Amino acid sequence: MSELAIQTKDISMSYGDHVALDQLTLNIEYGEVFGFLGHNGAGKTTTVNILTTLLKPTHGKAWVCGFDVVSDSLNARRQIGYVPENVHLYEAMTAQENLRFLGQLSGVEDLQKTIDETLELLDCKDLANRRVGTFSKGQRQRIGLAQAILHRPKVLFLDEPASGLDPMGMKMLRDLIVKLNAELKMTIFMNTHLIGEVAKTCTSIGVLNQGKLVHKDTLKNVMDRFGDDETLERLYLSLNTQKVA
Amino acid sequence: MFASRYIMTAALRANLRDQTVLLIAGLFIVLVLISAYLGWSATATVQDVYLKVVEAYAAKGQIAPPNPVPDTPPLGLLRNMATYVALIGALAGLVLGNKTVSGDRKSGVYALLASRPITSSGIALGKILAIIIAITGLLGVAALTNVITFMILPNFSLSADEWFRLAQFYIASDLYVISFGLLGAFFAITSRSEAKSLMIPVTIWLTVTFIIPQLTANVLPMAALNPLKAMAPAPSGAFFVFTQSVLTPISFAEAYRALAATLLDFAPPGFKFQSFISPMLTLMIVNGLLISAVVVAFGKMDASRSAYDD
Repeated sequence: MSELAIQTKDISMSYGDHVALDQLTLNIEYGEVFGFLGHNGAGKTTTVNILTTLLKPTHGKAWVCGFDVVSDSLNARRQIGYVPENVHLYEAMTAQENLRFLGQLSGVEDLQKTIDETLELLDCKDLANRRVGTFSKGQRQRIGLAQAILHRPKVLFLDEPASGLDPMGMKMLRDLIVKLNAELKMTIFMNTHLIGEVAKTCTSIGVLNQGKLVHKDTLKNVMDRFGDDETLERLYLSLNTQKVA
Repeated sequence: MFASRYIMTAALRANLRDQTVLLIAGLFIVLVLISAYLGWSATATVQDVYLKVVEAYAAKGQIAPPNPVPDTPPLGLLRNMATYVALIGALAGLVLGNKTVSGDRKSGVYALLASRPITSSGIALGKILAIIIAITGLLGVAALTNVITFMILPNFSLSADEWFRLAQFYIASDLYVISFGLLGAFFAITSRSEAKSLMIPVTIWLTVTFIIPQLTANVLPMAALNPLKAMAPAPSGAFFVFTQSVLTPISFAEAYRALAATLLDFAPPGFKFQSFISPMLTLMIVNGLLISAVVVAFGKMDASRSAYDD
């Protein structure tokens, strides 16, 4: 097994003249909760789209659990769970029907038992037989998370998971991320621009600015390096305006 | 293959819950039932009138003329079916094919499907199978209705050859409607706009059904609607000679109409379809090309931007 959960080497993505991602090189070890920070349009979602095999980079290579996301995309997909920014599910189906269908596609064995366990883990068994079309944003996010972890992936990608959630929903999500990392030993890659969430959940951070990685370190080192009196928010803003080695 | 089966099952389930699909499929079935009732009613009326005529002649001591009903080719009673299939059946197939794909794109689920361990051709196969099964089910109900009609109609017992030709007619109809289902699916995959994904195949359907047959002159302008006028001789003139020779081999609707007319005994005596490709082969080739196009389109689809713009 590869020592790295996620590895990218000089990946770039261009749309015509626009460079969305510029030679991104990134190494993330197993067990990390990695917060990927950046303003809107910095290239965070493009990075997740490449790592989840939805998009092919125009240049460079990327691996998830040692599997090339382009040439060995099916094996890479077996290792990952993915929660998009806006969780879309079949509105006319119940949560359980959605989970059953997506679980079947992931080849989950003993599916009903796994669905029950997952809903229990995410504390949302009461949603099982309700139609997804009736769900609030927070409830939808939970079922979105449930579908992503049904097959117990090694790496979980979350794209702006707290987007649109109220404070209660954000706290629940934060607790879930910590729980998934601790109990199911999942490596978590989280796109966000919410500094507070990063400080409370992540073990390492990367900062992306206009498609370029301008900083990557453990959260502890970042805090130590910039001093106790420096807020993480100021740090984020400063990192986005300078290149840090 | 297993993953394709799950895609297929989910697509069929979604179609069964889609009101637009149910409405247009229901309309097709209602028309089939009306057609069957009209066929039964017309034949029964002629039969009743004939029996009264026989009684009247007998009262006068005269011999009645022969009963005209047994001389009518029984399969010819289904000529309206060819029209319903070409019109509402093709439209139902088109909507069904479109909804089978657009539902996933509209709801944004496609990104989740594409992040699963299934290939794009696996997803395409599941969707294609769903379209084929749904349309075959729809045509199956129509076929069953016709079979029951023939079993209860007086004086109309089909020979083995006629039963075989009826089966061939439904195979041809199935292929014809499936091709429109695949056309609907293709544009649902390749269009950036949901509205365009339906408008473009509807325009193609109108062109194939009404415009090309006018240019080839294999059938007159009303032929797609009125089987009685079908397969009239082509008008003379250099333009029609040219368009006929160029467009007839690819005139898909006419291939179906010609096949239906031949199989159901409503083609004029001596009629020959003016193409070097047999109508059934045309239907098969079109379906093969469309299946390939759908598979390729799924492969080229950008899963990260799969939602429609509108």
